[in-house]
Amino acid sequence: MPRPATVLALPSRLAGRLSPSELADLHAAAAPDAVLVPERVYAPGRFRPPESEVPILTPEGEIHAFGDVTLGTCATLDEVRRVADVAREEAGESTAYLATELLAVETDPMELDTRLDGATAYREALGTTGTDGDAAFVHLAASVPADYRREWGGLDVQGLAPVETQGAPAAPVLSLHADGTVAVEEIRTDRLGLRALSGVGDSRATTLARAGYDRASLAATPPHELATLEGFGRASARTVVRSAQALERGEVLRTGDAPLPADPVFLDIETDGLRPSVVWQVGVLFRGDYRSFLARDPEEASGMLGAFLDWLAGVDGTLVAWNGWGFDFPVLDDHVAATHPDRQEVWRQNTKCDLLAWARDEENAVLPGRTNKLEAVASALGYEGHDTGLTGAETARRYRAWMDGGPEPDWERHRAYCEDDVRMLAHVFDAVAATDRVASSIADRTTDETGDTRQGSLSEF
Amino acid sequence: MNADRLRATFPDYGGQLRDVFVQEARDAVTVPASDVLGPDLAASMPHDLYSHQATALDALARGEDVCVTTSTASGKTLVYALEIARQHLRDPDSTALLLCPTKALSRDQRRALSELYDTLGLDISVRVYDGDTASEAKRDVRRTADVVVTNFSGVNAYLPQHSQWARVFGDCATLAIDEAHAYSGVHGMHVSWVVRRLRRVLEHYDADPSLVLTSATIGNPAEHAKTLVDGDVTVVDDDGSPRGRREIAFWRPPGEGEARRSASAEAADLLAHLGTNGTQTLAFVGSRRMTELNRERAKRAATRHNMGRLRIESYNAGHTKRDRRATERGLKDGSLDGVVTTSALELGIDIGSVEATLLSGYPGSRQSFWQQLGRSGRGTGDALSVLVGRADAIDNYVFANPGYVLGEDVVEDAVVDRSNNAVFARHLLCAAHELPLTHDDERWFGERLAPAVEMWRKAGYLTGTLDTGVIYDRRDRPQSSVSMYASGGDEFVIRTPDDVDAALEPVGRARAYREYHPGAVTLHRGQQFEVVGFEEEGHQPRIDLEPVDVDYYTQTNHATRIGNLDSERSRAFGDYTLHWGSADVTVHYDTYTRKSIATGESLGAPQPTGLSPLSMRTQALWLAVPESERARLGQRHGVDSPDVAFQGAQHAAEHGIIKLAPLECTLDKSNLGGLSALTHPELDSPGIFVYDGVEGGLGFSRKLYDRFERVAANTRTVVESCGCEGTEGCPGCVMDSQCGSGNSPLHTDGAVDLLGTVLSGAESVDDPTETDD
Repeated sequence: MPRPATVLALPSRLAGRLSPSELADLHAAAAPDAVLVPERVYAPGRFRPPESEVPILTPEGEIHAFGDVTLGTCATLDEVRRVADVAREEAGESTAYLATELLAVETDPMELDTRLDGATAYREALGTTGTDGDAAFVHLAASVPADYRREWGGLDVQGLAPVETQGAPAAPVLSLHADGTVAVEEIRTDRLGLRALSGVGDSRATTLARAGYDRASLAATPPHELATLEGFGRASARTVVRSAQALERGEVLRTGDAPLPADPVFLDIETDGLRPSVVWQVGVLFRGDYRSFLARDPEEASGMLGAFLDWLAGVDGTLVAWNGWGFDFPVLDDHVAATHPDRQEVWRQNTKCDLLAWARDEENAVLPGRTNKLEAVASALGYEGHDTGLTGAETARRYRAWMDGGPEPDWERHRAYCEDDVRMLAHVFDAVAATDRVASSIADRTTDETGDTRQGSLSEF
Repeated sequence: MNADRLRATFPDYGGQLRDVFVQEARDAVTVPASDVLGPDLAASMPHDLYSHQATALDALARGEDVCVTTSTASGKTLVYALEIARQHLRDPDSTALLLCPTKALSRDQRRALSELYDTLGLDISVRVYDGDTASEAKRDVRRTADVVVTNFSGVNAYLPQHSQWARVFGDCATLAIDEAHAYSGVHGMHVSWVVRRLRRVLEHYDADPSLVLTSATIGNPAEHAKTLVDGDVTVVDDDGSPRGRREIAFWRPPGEGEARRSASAEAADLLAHLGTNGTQTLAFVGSRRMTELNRERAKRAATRHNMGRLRIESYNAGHTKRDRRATERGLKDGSLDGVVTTSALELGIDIGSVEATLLSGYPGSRQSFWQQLGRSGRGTGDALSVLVGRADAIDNYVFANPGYVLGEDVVEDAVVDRSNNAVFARHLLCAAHELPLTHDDERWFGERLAPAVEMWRKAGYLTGTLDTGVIYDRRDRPQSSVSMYASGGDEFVIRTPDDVDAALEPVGRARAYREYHPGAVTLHRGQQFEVVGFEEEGHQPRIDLEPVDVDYYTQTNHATRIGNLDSERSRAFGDYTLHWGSADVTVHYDTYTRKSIATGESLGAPQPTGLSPLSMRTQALWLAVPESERARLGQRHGVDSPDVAFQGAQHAAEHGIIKLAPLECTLDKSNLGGLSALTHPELDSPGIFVYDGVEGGLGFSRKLYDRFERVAANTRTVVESCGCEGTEGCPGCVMDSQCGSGNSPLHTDGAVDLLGTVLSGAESVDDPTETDD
């Protein structure tokens, strides 16, 4: 698969809130090909760490190429005209991206109306030849949140603005693929630098920074030394140091005694959204055997779930999911209740384990990874997955589009995405299970043992 | 104690008693419990039922939904309590939801229901589930409670986790809404949609509970109930409860004009007198601060007149639950002679029977007036109510025109606007988050369902189609952006030193600025505190108090401004121009004055609070008035002081428009704010402003803009035809109890002139009254 362009969108009001170490952390996490700043910039140093030479793209009517991906930036309609012409030539048959401030999604609840402001003039400036083989564009709208994607009468609009997550802005990292796929990862800015550590919020981060600590030095600090700082007790000092060690060394640290399930059934589900109306894929990995249950048509979802329950009945193990109590288990519970009420009791009696909750909430382990996302933890533990170019949100979006009469999804790609998630989970589980209460480095563990790319059996409905 | 004895015994009596009105006693009309209830239940009922209880229970038995609207203390609770009991006997697994407007009332009703079920020998567990419920207990309530008592803010927040409520929702046989009159205005708008969302989820669990609403007397019970719950309800308003004889005394503090004694100081003396003469009294005042102040004043008065020991307490929502419970108990068991309270005790908290109520000024609406009076004289005992008149225009009017409050059928309507698109659309998002939306949901959301879904789809909030199900597509919860009380903002915690035994509830931002600015001296249950710390930054805003002992209290002064006008639409009316758009409304609590506790006089010059202004961006309409009109109206209506007359004309027109706004859009006039400027810097001329009193605006001013001809014509007609004397108006036309400048100046003739001129400049005047004039 051709390499996507990775772009970090960083408006100056967000950049201005980051300390140098947080900015460096953000770049390390995003590893961008370019930083996209949707306004004129006078001091590029505010957007990248001192040693970095990552290009800073601002709206100046220019065209850039990253691998197979063409990206233009434009602040005026003239620039749109010019850049679109060049981009058409350069992009050839693949999709070109245009970052712009000229399009804005405006909602007027009083009139029950949402408009794409600036669309008419923009469309005119863009011009369309209408001939076959004309390049497709995705328009990256600076004022629209990065989790937005929608077609507006021929204009394919993708958002670029930071999304607020629990009150803190998250910097969007967009993977722009040549086929028009955009995968968005959001990096919460309140989880950068010292604040990436468990137990460290704004005030402790300030205390630690004033006392001259950074993450690396904290990992080598005896906890009792921190316990003398204001706002720290012995327990919190220990948590902070352990978390720094885990993060800096890519280690799992066991902090509690609760055992992990002996016979795990790793599970991941795909749905049509965060408050789903349908569960259309269930991926399970049991004793090395991967299985996928897939409903191509929502009408088949009930039958698919039934088959999953049938399979589960023959398996003697504990279901393990990442953030399972936050999503997979209650969603399955609702859908089992709705479609197979007679089997709900059996489903409920199945033992279940949420690996994230087991580690974080029940304090059995401190995990590495900048965030609690499975991808971040697994990658800190050395997992190398297969970039399918998809995210959970993107798979949900494509399935919704299919339900609503859009193009048929590439089922194999979705199946591979789900399988990758399940194997990632198994990798983390194994890493945790392999760690006893004495810290042991697993950074140099080989990944071969879980790097199994064997196709699982695919059950279809 | 009655009015005659009060006159004879009150120390320093000097003719304060102006009028006494008598409500005669009424006998109970009862029905044997066995006529209505099944034999099991009837046998354990210790008394008969009042006729209205019987009527309501019969209607429920026929499958009708009911709204019981009878007097205070007429036993409305028993209607849903017995309906729940009946359902329980029919099916022991059945559950009920009871919605109360306040957390305090929820706990009170839980106690009342539990006691009743004990008496009846029924094993029905009644539990409260709200923001104060311990998280350990919540799961247990959801799993085991038969009756869950909560509030609508809670329901808004709990609905997304409906699967955790599957048992309670699925077995729900009764949905009771207590004190339904409380859901009016913006709050009522939100509640009406939360009810629909709740009923939609109940339906998903195959529950179709019977609905029981209770309400204080309002002008439009049937309409209000229908709007609130989306269905026809049977109104039961023929009150069968007995009533003692009640005297309503109108009491004028002594002195004339500027020298007239303040109503609250006079009320404190009355409270001391009644309380020390064995008449347990509930004294209503207008603010939390005044509850504390009058508690002190009454104690001092008792000492001054050697009346003996006076056992009184203050009561307001700033007190902790524990303190409030103790005060309520004190009233019930007679260990308190009196309580000074805000309207917090206006709703049906059970405080037993109080013999007298004191109203320190007319409370602003006839509904509140009757609610507060009704807190005295439970049962058949005689009751006394005293309205102590303030020296302001509205109270003067009420004293001169007692029929305004005492006449038949004078209680205000409860108003709920379901046509407001912005609020509707916000709740539709929540509904999609709770369960996928399909075409079937038109039943709950009407014809606006499809266009609103399309709006949110385009905005990226919803995805899917109504054919296959529309779901919510963002990570944040839409429920958390529903501001049920239209008074969002951070809460400030209030801290006192560790060695001081005082606990205060957190306060919202506006109240923190108004009452807890640095330097403010505040009373709390008899202890004075000074604000020594005001910390707004950081995770948890906070206020620090230190105990002090001084002979003054503080009063905050404020200035309201409107600016940053951004006109989106405008129309000319002759030389006047009407605009609609957005504006910043800024309230600056800039200074405070120290006032003597003994005399209420100001001590020294105002001090700066050091606080920055509080600002809100909202929607507004404004009428730019040409300078030539300032000169013309001023000269014509006030030769000696033309600007005062002109300002009075603008001010009266502004009040009139706001007061008549409910005719054009269903709103509570308190949801609008207004301002008149002699010269507005951005208009460079005089101007009248009317704005939505909610951050962001809700489209009220927009409707008034669109229908301005009708609004202006209505206002002119009402002001012109009002029978009040002089040019200062009355509460029936332009006076408003919420006016920040004490209803001064007002000029009715000037307002009629101004509005007439505006209308003559309109292209075509659509006269709504359809009369020739």
